Amino acid sequence: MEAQFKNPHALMLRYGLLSILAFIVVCPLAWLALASLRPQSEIFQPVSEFGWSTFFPSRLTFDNYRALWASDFPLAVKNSTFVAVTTVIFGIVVNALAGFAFAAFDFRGKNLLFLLVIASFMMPFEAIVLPLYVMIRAFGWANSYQALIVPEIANGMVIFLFRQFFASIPRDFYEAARVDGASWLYIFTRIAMPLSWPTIATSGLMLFLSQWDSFFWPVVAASNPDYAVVQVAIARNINFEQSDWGGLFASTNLAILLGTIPFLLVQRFYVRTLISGGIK
Amino acid sequence: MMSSRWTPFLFLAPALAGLLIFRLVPIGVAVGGSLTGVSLMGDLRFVGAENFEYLLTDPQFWSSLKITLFFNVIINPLQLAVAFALAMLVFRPLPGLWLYRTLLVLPMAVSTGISAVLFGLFLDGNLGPLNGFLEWIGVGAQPFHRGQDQALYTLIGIATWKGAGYWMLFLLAGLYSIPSTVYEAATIDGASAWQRFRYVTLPLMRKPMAFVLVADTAINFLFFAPVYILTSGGPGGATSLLMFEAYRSAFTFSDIGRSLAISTILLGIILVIVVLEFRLLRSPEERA
Amino acid sequence: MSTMNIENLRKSFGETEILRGIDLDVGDGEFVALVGPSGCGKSTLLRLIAGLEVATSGRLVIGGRDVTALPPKERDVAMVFQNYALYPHMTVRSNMGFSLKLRGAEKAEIERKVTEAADVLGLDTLLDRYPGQLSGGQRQRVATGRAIVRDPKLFLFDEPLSNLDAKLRVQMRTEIKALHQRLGNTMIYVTHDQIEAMTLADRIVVMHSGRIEQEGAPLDLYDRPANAFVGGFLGSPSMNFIKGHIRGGSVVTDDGSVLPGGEAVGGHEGRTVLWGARPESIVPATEGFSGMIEVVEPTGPDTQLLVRVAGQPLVVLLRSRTPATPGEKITMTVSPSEIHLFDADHGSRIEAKP
Repeated sequence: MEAQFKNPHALMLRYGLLSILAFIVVCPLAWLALASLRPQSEIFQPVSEFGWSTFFPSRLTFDNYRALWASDFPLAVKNSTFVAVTTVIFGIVVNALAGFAFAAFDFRGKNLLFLLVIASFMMPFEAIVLPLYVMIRAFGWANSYQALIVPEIANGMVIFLFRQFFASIPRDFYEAARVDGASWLYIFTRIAMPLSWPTIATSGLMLFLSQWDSFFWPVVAASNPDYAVVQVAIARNINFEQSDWGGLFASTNLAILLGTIPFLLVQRFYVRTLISGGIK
Repeated sequence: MMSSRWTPFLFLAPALAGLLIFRLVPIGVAVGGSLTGVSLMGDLRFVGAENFEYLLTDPQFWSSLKITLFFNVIINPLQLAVAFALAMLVFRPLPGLWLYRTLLVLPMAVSTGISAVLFGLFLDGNLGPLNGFLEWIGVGAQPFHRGQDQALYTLIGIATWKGAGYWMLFLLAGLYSIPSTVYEAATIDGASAWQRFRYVTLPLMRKPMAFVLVADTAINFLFFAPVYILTSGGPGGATSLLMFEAYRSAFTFSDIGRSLAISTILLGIILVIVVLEFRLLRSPEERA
Repeated sequence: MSTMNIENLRKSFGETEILRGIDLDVGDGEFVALVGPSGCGKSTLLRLIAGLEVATSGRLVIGGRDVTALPPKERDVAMVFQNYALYPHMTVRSNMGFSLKLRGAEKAEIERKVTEAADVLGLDTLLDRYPGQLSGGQRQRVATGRAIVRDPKLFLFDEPLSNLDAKLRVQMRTEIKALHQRLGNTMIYVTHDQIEAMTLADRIVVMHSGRIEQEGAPLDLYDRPANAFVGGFLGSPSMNFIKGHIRGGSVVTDDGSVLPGGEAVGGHEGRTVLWGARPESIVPATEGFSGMIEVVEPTGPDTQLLVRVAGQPLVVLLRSRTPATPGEKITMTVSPSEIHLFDADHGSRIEAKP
């Protein structure tokens, strides 16, 4: 690298800019986390007098979270978790099977089908939410778990990632097992899948985040409170004229933590796979 | 191994069925439905191009289209520029860099809807800290998403907060793919830091930059959650982006035909973008 | 004046010392090859000369000017990289003219110099192509051309031929040699290929573990290696070494075999030494030392034998199609002037005491 003759000011500037940007990212998150621990009496602190107390409560309390426990928010968390976990499990199996087929077999129409896969992840899901809703309603699926889960299982990006991974294993590997008498299903479950755990981790997070980030679809397809996922439940509660600010702070902060914690755990794999898969 | 002729299709069936039914068929439904007058009650009537004719004479639609285009003209170059700057900042090694990187991509894990709620609170006039700060330094409180002049820019800001780190990753991949010896060769050829950026980095980043710009545009044409949560298209229609218009047509005005007509127009725009994206990604690399 | 002087140059990365004090003077127009096994510091030394790395201590003078603290730009050096490092988005023409353009040269002048260099290298028909459209050998030429255009004080080559196939490597080697004879610039050339170094250089600098082991004209180094490392590094197949004691003008191994002592034994009676002989110095004879032939490898013009002598393998290169069979006994000798003796502990060359 050519970094040697660089002056120390450039280094300071870089740290400075990075710190400012990181602050912009973290500040709202940190403020919310602390605000959710505020006692009810201090909710309106920020504007009346800007200063230390804008960010730091006089005492920390879990009252807001305790109150949340009694509301319908736990149901939303349960719904979100169920929807996300089910999507992850089915999504990994279904998309890995397809990715394996694209990597291990030669068959008629392969290129055309793969084109469909790639096109499907270039088109954002939001583009077809409304017509899809018309379909789902015709199926009688409106306001149901299957409406939230089933359309999100097949995922072009995840198929693509699995294909990339399985294609990186030499075909001799599969063919040797064939010669030894293994069935393709055996090869898939006992050889291919156990090797692919980094891709499984990444895909799992990707499927999880796709459910977690999804807003338009659940609002349209499952607006009934019984099936409301976290982001919908919170959005419905926010009319900015309510009295339960503490509850809103706590539920929003909880929603952020539920998304960021799995992300931080798998982040390294995720970033690496996204980078290598995205630009090819 | 005769049986293996059908094996690939057995492996593919579940995923392809999913993509077909839940990605491809809806496109047909959108186009077909836009030619009908389906009401939410379910009765169906073929109306031909009536929905589109009506749309084209509807000033509300034109205003939405104009706002959507304006929104995209601002937000996409902005996100690209911010993402590029971030990528340049976190590219070369630096002690403690992993921490900055992790923090900068953190908003990826905050859902778009939740980030809208978060900023709804953070920017609120009564309990958000930012207005308190602005008053404290003497600028005075701002309406942000509640103000007709500021609402659209506030949404742009929120989307950039949420998206810049994600797009940064793709640009970072592009930066990594430039061999370090090319920079060294330029250094020896006498290029200053600025000249290396201008003559080496920028031209070699054209492809990843174009990819990010196009992919980002596809997503931002369908921008929805923050509008729904924070502004409901207001104030005074200032943020009535097309996707929200489509939603409102169906669920507020029960006019599914109009909603699907708007969806079809958006799908057309997205189709053009996807084709562009394909051409970018497949552009023959005569320059290895 | 394109001389270069290096004084006690050191470079560490953290705790690891890569260069442990290098002193080297290169004369105007000289072609110097830096050789050594990977990790010996030769590439780091080249990068220090280029200004891509900064020395931890020491002094570097190019053309009489102290450049130790100067960035590459102000050193007036050109470098040919191992992977060529061509600008992938520029044509061959722009690649070669880039440095002149940065210096703000006139368009006509750039065009003239690029055309000139392209003529020299036979690139005239490729000027409008992109690097991605060129073969390995053509890319290598463009990389060289980019250096020529600048007419620098120093040409630096970092293993420029190692990415080419064997045949092309030989051809390009000849071209680089011709280029040096034609331009007469000072060139410093890093390689791990000792044949490249032998054929190209006016002077070879052998490096090992961050130090210079020996420097000198190629054949001097070959004939009189200063230590066992240099002896073993230069030459292929490499020099044979057998440990023994000097006794009565001969070298006697632990199992009692007697090897000819050569010219250097005088005054070293009893000393423990490494006896060294190049494979081509060993010839069959009626009298001498003997061993058992284990492997016979005819290569066409030569025959290479693996012979077991004093319990150790000895490579013998016969310049003829000598009939030989594994299992046979063979008697050999070495001309006294071609026997090298090295100290068994520190490996340095032993000469006869007067």
